[in-house]
Amino acid sequence: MSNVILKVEHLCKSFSKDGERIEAVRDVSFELRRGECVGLIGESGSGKSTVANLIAGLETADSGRIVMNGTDLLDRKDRAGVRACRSKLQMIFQNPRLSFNPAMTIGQGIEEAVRYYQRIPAKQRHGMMLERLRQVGLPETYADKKAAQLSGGECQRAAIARALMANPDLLLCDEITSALDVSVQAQVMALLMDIRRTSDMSMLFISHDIALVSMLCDRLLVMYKGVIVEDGATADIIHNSQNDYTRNLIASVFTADEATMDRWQKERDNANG
Amino acid sequence: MSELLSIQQLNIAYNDIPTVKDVSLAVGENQIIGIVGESGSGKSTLIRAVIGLLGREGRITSGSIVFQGKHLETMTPGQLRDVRGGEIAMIFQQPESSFDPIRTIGDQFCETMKLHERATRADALSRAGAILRGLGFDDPARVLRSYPFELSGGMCQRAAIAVGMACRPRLLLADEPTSALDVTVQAETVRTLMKLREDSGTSILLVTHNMGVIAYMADRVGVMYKGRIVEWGTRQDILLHAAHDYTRALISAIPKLGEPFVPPKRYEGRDEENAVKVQLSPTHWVLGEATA
Repeated sequence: MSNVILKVEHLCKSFSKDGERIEAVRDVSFELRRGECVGLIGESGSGKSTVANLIAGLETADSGRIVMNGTDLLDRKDRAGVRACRSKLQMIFQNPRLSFNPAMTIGQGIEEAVRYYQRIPAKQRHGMMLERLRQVGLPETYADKKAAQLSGGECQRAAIARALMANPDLLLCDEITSALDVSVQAQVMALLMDIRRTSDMSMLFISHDIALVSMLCDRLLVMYKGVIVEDGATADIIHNSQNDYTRNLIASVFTADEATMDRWQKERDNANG
Repeated sequence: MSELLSIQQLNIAYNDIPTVKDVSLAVGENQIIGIVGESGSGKSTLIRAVIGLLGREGRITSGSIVFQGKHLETMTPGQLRDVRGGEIAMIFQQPESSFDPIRTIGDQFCETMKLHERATRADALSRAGAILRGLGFDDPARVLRSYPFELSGGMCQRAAIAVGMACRPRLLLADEPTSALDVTVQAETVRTLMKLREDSGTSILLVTHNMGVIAYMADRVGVMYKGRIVEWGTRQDILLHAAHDYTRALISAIPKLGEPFVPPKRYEGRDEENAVKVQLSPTHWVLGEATA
């Protein structure tokens, strides 16, 4: 079996907005290997979320191919194959509350993830759900709560539990920590790192927080105006980027280390004469 | 340095639950004060209290907020309205939400200036143009004609800063002004705020959980945890020589560019009710056990 879990080839998608045609994704190609965690970075409007939505099937590509585990996800004739393949693909979003039905309990919401794809007896499914809750560090009693009763961080943990319920091969994470504050964000990251260590799931991690992505991912894709402008190992991109846009993006990150603060202090002292 | 705003032993309760506890701080002329802490630490409540935006459930239970010699905590809503948008301006996390969606940016400039300074429309628009140009907008006239939804997030936040500056406030309250923006736009907004301080000497009370922004902007930093300021110092004191366990945990949670991920330290909050201020240096103090 090939080591490549996802292959995206010449993917294109355009929208029309106010009579204007916007090419959101232009000829995007990349590969993801089993167990690999790849970061997709870029500013708002660069098309990174559209790429994830196209892979997840939330939007339809204009052209190109998305091949997961050898199955072409855009093949309309192979419905059963695509369906089986999609059950191994899960996505987590920026606003976790929106991924749960507000009228259902968290437990029901998590179980939903497998109800349509697998016939599992209710009792066994319930047991799996409780195990997933434990895995993401939530008490079992949360199964009976509703999304609105959870804090943002707890709700995002529940959303991760929902995604894990399906034992995915590929997890798409779209700005999943952007709505959380730093300490909660770090806890969610620690959870994802744990999951990475204990499974060979692949992740496509979308974020505009370059520092965050750089800590988590083996490889980075930099997207600008619908095009992937750079693709390389994280350290190469961060320290040795060959692309002006990437360099500018990295220079925009405010870091709080000693050297940077010294430099800023000097700039400020000079400015004040 | 003379004090512009002085908060003394302030206590605030929401639905009778204490959310800000015994907070004292001072903002000097031309100074940027940063308040950091996690959600729910009371940092937004603190700055909202300054201009009476606590809503129906929030109540100042004791303490004082003195701005240029005036007690804001005892002002009537009418008196506060004269201060708000005039001498004290505020910007929020969601720039779109600080504008009326069905009126142009220019209209909203005029509204603020008419209300506080009885400026004519022509005067207001020409001054608005000058402020926008000063903040680095290439085409102020276009921005003034635009509706808020026609501007990008970053433009909208900078326009909100510009409207905040319309009446030359002495103090700008900024509640997570960059948190909803992405990195490049964040950098732009931060530079705009710094320029504001340079050009007009406006003091800024900035609430954020972005430590990088604090490291760049703040002259003094207060770390809030469960309603209390647990540590106070210069940005170097706080970021490089943190003394409180909570501050250290918070700093360990900041993503660091190009470094491997290290699980953050967990801070299990202890009750700081009986803790005392321990002065570590003339600029740096921390809440801790009294050492007898």
